[in-house]
Amino acid sequence: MKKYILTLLIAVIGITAFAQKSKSETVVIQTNGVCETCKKTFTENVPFFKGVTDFKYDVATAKMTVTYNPQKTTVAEIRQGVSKLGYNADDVKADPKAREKLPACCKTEKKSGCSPGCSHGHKH
Amino acid sequence: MKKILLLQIALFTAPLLFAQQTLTGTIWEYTDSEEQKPLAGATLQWLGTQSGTNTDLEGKYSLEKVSATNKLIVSYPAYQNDTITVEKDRTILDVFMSSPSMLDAVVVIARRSGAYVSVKPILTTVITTDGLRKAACCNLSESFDNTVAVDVEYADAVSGAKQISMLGLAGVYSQILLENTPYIRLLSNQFGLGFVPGTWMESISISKGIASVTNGYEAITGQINVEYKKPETNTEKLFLNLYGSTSGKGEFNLNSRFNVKENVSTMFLLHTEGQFAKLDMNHDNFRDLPQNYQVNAMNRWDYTVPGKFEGRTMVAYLWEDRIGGTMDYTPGKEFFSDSTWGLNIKTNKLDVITKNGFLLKGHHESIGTILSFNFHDNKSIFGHRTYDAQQLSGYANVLYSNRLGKKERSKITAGASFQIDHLKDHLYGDPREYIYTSPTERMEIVPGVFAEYSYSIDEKLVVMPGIRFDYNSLYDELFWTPRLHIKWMPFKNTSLRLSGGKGYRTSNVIVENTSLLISNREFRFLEDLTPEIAYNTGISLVQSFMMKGGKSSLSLDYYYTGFENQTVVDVDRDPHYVYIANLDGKSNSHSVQAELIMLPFKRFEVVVAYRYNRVWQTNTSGEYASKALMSPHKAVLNLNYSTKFDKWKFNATLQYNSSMRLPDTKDNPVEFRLGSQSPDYFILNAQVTKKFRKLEVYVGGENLLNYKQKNPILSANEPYSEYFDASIIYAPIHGAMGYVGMRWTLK
Repeated sequence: MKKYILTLLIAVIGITAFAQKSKSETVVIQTNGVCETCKKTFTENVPFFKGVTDFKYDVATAKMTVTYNPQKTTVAEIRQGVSKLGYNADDVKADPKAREKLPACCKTEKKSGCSPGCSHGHKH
Repeated sequence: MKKILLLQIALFTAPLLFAQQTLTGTIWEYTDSEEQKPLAGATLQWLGTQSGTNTDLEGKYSLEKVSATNKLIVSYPAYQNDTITVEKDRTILDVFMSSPSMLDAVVVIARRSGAYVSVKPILTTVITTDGLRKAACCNLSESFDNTVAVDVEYADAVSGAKQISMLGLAGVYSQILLENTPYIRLLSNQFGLGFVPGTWMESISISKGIASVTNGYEAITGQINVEYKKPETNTEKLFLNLYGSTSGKGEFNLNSRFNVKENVSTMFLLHTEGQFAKLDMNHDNFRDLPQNYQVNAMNRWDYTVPGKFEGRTMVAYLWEDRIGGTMDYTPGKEFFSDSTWGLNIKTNKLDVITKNGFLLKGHHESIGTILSFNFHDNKSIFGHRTYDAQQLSGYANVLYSNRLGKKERSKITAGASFQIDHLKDHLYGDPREYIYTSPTERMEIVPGVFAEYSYSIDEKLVVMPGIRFDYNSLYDELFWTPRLHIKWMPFKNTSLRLSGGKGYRTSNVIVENTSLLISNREFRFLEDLTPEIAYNTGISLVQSFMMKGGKSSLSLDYYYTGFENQTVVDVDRDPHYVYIANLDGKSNSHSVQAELIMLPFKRFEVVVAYRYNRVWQTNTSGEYASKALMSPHKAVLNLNYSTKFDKWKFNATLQYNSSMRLPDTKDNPVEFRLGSQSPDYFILNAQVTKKFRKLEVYVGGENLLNYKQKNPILSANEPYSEYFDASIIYAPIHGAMGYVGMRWTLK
């Protein structure tokens, strides 16, 4: 019994150590996503861009803080990725096709356009 | 939207009515650092109402949902107020409040934990999608690996059927519901857990002890409710899953949803699986697992008229072909050789379930209807015995719910139900020579009425008595079923629950014991069977506390079940027979469980659980003895860790099963005897999941310690000798197994 528990614990500790990240840089990117829905889209996608290790998004300022490994990606590539999601990223304009597909509330850049239903609802 | 809230509660969660009306969670301060800080004294208030509460010192709150609105205002001095829309099914809501400088930045997160104890008046554990994915394979029977509340065992060494038990008693004494509709019953008892695909499930709720009266007089030891993915709330345009294992099993799953028009949506779900390989790792000439092919398809529709009507309809069809027995057996071919033994089970099953809810005047009054129709056809071969069975069932349940008086305090749910089962079955052939017996046909009609009242004081105390009266046509008897549930929260994080009540059941001996057909035991009915009658009482304590990684909990419970009458299926009296009779003496079960769920740091969860069962019964020889094939002690250690954004997930579960009593085989010749006790053993399962944007890939292993039962089949070389028996199973038959799979989601 003890042996098994110990093995499991060692496995978990090993995994934790393994998860520690190496060299990284951080960039703040100005976007135009103002809803919780936008935030959700970002959270489901940006952390999975190649080389991205951490991500935070502030809906109020529409700014995202991205930590990445400079050996695997560049800020330009990250901005390009955000653009493909349908949002502006600093001076890179949103991909128009992707933006067209966004829910109505995410296309607005005004906070007032953020109806509460939008953050959970479907695109009917 | 506002109106739908109550309707949903009344219709889709009717048996757990009060449960869904409480929202609990923690209000946190949103900081950039890893450390979370709970906000004490934050105010929560339903928009436009006087109904609200404050968080305690640990930032926790518990707030009754109101029918008037689903908009919740969260405020804290010097912080920006926030209005959150609370989805109708949500009972747990954690809110992150941003510091005064960051306006509008409220983050709503669902609870991370894969399983948690809910706030319902009936002790209920909910397994979420996250929890379900810890054991990636394959269906409902594999979903209980991380809990000790439900035991899952192979029923025999040949058919691959898995059976559950709760509180040490067979699964038939609990009730398995699909979205609050009785689902795994009668003929589906045998393989039903395998008919519920893992990828279709959204969540599973496990309630221990006697259930609410709204779903019938059964559910004595517990209730398991499975929720499938719903077109209305699901976000997967397309979901694909592929799975393959080293035991030669493959799976393909697909689901897809569409909006047909506003307020009408539909979803298609498909599950196909095959156990293609023919394996005999223990060289006993029997397949370790049956070859098995299954196709299961469903189409479901959700439709609403906002504020007036809401409905859900599903149609599902299942086909399965299962081939087991000796390696040289080919289905369809007659076999006369002394060493060939075949199992072939062909299943066709059709289910139609429709649930519709109507909101009456005012927001508090509603009517919900549940209608279900099931057709199930089984054609089975067990060696030289043949068992054919066909079931046609219809079920209707109408629930009316309203509050009494002006306050939310008193509520009543009342209604009427109707169950009709037509079961034709035919067991013929003798295990050793051919004997023809005539088929049996049975019609059971059960109309009933019920009422459940609930009185709650600020969610601190909930008292919920219920009663139902049913007429059973089979016995021409009137059953009355009183039940009571009480929940008391003496302190904010402490819940104490009490439950007690009566239950009944009609036993279906052959269907519920098909594993015994995989032996050369003969069935001997000693008398006409009368309804089973049992009482169940229980007490439980749940203490939640805060750890660095989140809300953690300790739960302790004790349940007692006593039978007034039971169908005794006696395998101890003689190894060549099964004796079946009504209980003449005592039969009871005591069950104690302790479970600790800890989140010691972020994204790390540890579950430690232990349960003890003591189950004794007077057998047909008049001896009062412990139940065979039930392990008294069971313990589980479950560790889960995930990296940021769940990019990597690691899950491991270690399960301990103590030694159990085996059915008496001491009258057999020495080579066909098993000891009186089985050895104890450990089971280790582990899985690693890697998440990409749309793709998840997982690799795992089951039974990694490779523990197998030695000699699972007595007299395997001579399956027609009187000693042949494959029904005495206490451990896995196949050893370590690895698997790999992927999920792809398009939102």
